Amino acid sequence: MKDQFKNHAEPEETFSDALKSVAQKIEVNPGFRAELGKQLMEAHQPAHVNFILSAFNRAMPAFGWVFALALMALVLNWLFRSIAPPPIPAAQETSISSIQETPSPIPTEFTTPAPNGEGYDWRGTKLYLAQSLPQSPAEANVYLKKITEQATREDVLALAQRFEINGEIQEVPGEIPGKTNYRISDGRERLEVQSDHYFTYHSNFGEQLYLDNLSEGQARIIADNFLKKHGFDFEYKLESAPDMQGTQFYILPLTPEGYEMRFDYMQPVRYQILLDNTGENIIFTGYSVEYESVGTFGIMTVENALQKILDPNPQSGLMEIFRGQGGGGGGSSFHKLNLSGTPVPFPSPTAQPQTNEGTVEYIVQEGDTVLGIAQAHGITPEQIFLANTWLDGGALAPGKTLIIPGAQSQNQNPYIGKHLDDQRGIFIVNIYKKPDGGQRTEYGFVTARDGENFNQT
Amino acid sequence: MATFMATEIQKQQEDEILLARQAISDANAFAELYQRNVTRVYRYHMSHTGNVKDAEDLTSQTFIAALESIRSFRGSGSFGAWILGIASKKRLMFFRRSRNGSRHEVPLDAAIYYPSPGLPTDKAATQRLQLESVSRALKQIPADRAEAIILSYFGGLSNIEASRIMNKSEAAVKMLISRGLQDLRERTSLALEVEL
Repeated sequence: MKDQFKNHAEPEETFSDALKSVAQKIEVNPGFRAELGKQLMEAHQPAHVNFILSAFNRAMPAFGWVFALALMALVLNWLFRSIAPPPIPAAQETSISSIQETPSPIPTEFTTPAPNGEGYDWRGTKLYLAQSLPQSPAEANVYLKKITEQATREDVLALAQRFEINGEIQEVPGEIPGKTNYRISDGRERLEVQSDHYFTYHSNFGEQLYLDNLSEGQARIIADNFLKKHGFDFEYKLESAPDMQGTQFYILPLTPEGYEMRFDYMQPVRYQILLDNTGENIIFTGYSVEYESVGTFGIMTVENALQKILDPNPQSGLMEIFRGQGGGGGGSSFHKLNLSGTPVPFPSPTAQPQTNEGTVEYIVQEGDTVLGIAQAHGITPEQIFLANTWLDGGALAPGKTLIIPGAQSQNQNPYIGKHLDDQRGIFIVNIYKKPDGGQRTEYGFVTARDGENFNQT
Repeated sequence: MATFMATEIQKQQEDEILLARQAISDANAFAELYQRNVTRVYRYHMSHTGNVKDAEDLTSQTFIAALESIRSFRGSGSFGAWILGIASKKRLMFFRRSRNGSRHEVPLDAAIYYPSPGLPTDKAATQRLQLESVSRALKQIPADRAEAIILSYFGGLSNIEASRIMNKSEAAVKMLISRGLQDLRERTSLALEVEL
């Protein structure tokens, strides 16, 4: 069964396997492991002396490693600083990006709830607003990220040219099996580009960076010179990284309107720059992505969005992820939301419930992809391949019937009927531009309690 | 094969229940449970915090709490699920604290990553990059999806076990995982192309 799927999956491992292998490679530092074991034994009443010895014996081979690791740590630390850029939780959107249009009024800190305020009924759940709804702009400029493909030699060369690095491109194993990263160096400067376009530039590779406490003013001058010199010509905001003040700074590109660019899930687009006191030694990281303007879209007010969330019978223009009240199909319909006008349904997935056992049949439409169909039904592409063996090597021709196993039609929302009187949260409105030219808008209500959320698309 | 594995897992669970009872009075038994579960707890915290220092900190806290409350382990599920339940509570307290500004999340590169002993340096570096890419992506996807994936992939729990910790139905956890995997796939270069 699995082999059938593998024919479709270019990299040998399925994503799930790849993730498992990443997880399994995380090992506990043996020194720490032994130390904690020892502490626990001492904390256990009554203490067992013989155990401490046995734990120690077990840890002995590990202690040999502690010395090796102490050495290795030095090497690795240096190595990692050079080849592993600090994570930027930003520009990872693969196909579509949306710029969050809300200027700033999203509350990040919550004040005491105001349960005496007006309550909203959300299918049996009482919601109260902890703050008044923020003002939102009436329209948003939406940009599309241009690059979605894996980085190529040409991309790397082009980027290297901007940094004026002349050297041979080296291919190195990617951060993920089966992917390639590129490295280029002239002996002093060095650039490494990951397959997902995440790059790290070192002005003096291998040289110790003497970090100093720079003021934001000083940092701005150095960063500004650097960016302009290498053709990163955009408006931005400079921010000190919270945990590395005075040395590491974030460069947050601004939209022409002066808002910080945001991706899906409110992630900022940002570059990172590590500076020393001379301004000579710089490490610069980020995604080399370009945007094109898609256009200006009218957006509904926050008040309207809230009403949409509360609406017990969502109309077209909304796809409710957790739809379908128990029993029976109720396949979700997917609609395009014409932001300022009347919603128009998408031409593609429409599920046709057939049986009550969670299996539905679906007739393939023009332009469908397995991934798309799987997503629309809340299952994985693997499940589709497994249930439709004819897909093996065959094309997904319009008119063919796919069996959709275990389609999620049951109501999964654990909040229904639950009182969330004290919950405070954030409303998020995301606008997506789909590759086929369509649009999708997602309304989310994220409660303050550990990211529990309600979603509507 | 499948049935063989099921009985193996069952046997191990029964074994752990027995050990947990002994661990109330016997430090050796607790030590055994510690040795068997420290990796999954560490992986859980590592994938959430993304850095060694906090992961070690939280792993310590988790086991100290487990030692204090070992009597309350009823054996209704596996010990692994029980201890990850503690781990998840510790993590929530930890992030609540960090939200108040008393501590920040330290990015991965600020910590020294200990690779598996004996790995050549370039392999170790590749490993680190993989973990970093995944850890970065996990922070970007909805928290409940990330938690479901972490409990299952990093904590090695079954969907039922994860569902108890998350207070959700098993089906809901399955769905969270499936959606979370899609999210991750879009956000990491582990991307698997299945478009036709």
